Amino acid sequence: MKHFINILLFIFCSISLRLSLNAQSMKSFFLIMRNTGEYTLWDGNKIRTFGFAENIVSHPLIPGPTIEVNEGDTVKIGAMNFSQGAPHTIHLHGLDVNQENDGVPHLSFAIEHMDTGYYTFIAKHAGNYLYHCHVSSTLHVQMGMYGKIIVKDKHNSKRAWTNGPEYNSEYAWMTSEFDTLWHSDSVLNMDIDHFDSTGHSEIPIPNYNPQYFLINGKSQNQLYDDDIKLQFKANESIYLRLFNIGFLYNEYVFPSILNAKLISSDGRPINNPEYIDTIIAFPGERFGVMLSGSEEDSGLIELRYRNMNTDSIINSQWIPYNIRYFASTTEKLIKTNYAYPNPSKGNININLGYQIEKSRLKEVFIFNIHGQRIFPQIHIDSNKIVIDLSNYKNGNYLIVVDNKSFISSIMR
Amino acid sequence: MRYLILFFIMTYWNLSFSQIKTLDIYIHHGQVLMYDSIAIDVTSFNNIDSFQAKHLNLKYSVGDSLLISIYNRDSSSHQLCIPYLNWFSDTIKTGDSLNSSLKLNQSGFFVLKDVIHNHNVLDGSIQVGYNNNKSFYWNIRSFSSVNSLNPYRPDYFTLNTHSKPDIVYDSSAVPVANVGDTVLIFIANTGLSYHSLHFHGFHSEILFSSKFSNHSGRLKDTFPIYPKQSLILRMVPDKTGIYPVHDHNLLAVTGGGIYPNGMFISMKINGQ
Ligand SMILES: [Cu+2]
Ligand SMILES: [Cu+2]
Repeated sequence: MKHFINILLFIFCSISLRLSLNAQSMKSFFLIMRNTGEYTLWDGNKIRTFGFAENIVSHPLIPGPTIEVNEGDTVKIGAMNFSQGAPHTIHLHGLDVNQENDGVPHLSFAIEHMDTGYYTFIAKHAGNYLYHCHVSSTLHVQMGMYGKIIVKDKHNSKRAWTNGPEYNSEYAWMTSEFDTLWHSDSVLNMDIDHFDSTGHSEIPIPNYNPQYFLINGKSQNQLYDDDIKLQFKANESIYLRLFNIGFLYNEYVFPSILNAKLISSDGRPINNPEYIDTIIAFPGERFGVMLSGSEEDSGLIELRYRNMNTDSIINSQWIPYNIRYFASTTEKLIKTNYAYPNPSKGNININLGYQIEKSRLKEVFIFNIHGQRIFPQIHIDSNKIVIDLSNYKNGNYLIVVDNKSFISSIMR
Repeated sequence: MRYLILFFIMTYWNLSFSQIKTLDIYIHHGQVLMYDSIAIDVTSFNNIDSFQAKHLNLKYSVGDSLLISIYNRDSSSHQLCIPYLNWFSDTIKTGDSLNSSLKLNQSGFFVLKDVIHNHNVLDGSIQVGYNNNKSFYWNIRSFSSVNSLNPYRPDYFTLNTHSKPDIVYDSSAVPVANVGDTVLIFIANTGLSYHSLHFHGFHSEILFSSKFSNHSGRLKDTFPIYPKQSLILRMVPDKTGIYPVHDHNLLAVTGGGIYPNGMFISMKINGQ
């Protein structure tokens, strides 16, 4: 009965999260921490996660709910642990909070199962920050316990910081990776068993060989979703916020037509902003990048995930952008059934519904699961494109035609 | 009387800022112990003629001239260098020694490393200038107990060869300061891995970066350090408390596969 009342209370708290956002300079948030998340990856594979949820009845989000405030706000974040096991915390990464609110379990406090804790801070500097659990952080962060904190300028006026550079629209990309082996019950149960009373733990950590390379929890064809794909009008600017919470370092390669300009880092303006096509974000770093394009164009931004020990590129993800003179109606993502047969024994047809000129065949991009571009035989057959993957290995391929994406599998 | 004082000041100035100094470096082979007593074979160079399981850290002033003697007591050849200053010794064969010189014309913090052996050498560092500050030194690196470079899969991540928990006993590394103090942190990455050090509590300013000179002046909380590169950070703590600093590649907060026994250190900030 007590538990039932508690649950009602928590549902009430979660609802009040939405109601309490209007206060001028005091902003409150409430998050639910869970250990029994289920997350569906781009290829349909489902894995177990830990994470932050908006309310008690929903699965944790990957990344967790974005916390958005304005410079000067006093921010209060409540967190209820509904893990049925491990304690959790919230570390306010980059916000320079005091020890009590820092979220390091043995130095501030840990939130045990069925407990609620509160973190308070003043958002002194507009910019990009993270929050993540700091209990057994290697494991809990890998499991999905992270999210973005965005501190906007004082006047909420589409400027990168108070009186800073203006922008027309903004995007926020948070990168991470998943190694599905870590998401198995045998690894996770090890974690729960090893806590002492202070929340400190010594736990074995498996080798790390991630198979999924994420931006806002998504990859491959999901990068055509509206929160990731960059859409803008020529001569307008986009403020792109980058957050790396993974264990690999990120290398973004922006086509020069996007005029990428690095203007902020770790929640502070850069005093000598630079135009730079390659932006590198190490684990824990955040950057603010201003993009603008003066001509109509569409293409792909390569994001490389690189190993911190060997420097090798483990994977590339390709993020689309689209610059138009006039605001276009949002392009509909063509679903996978337009690529057929799927799976195939080698030949894959892409039905575009309209004729594509032969000269544009070089704009057909095909990537393997590691994000490497491949160059199979392609030909046009009336209004479909035929791609011959018979010389390639079984598996999934991402095909990009005319800024639309298709996932096709081949099997023999 | 006034001129006499001036004379002494001038003399002292010259003595402390522009001196000829001798530096003896001895190369020895031995073992360094990880926190869990796993021993890793390494070569170390030090200014004592016996194996020291620690990284050499030299401190000089701008203008100093070094007369360097290097003695190779190891069973393989070595060649030392400070790439940033474009100083390279000749190759020193087993049992040999050689002399070299180096004039220190610019301030900074530089990696002193072995040219021939990129791995399993306790590379050192040299500080030039920045002498009148509260300073702490972190020679960070990864170690591989299986000793393979193909591929490189390190399993220990250390500061001054220590990791959490035994790093707390290294007073040259653990920042202890008061609110309002100016604290300098000298960081050299002498290993082969990339590191990304995240500071709780405070942003710091990059005073010097051996890799990216245009990063000077940036205020950050997370600092990437490339292999064989170095940084000087300046921090003015504004509140009391204990604040961790750790690699945000959270795989490097492990040692021998155990969390949290890796690159993790805590700063202690006291009231004034
Ligand atoms: Cu946690
Ligand atoms: Cu963090």
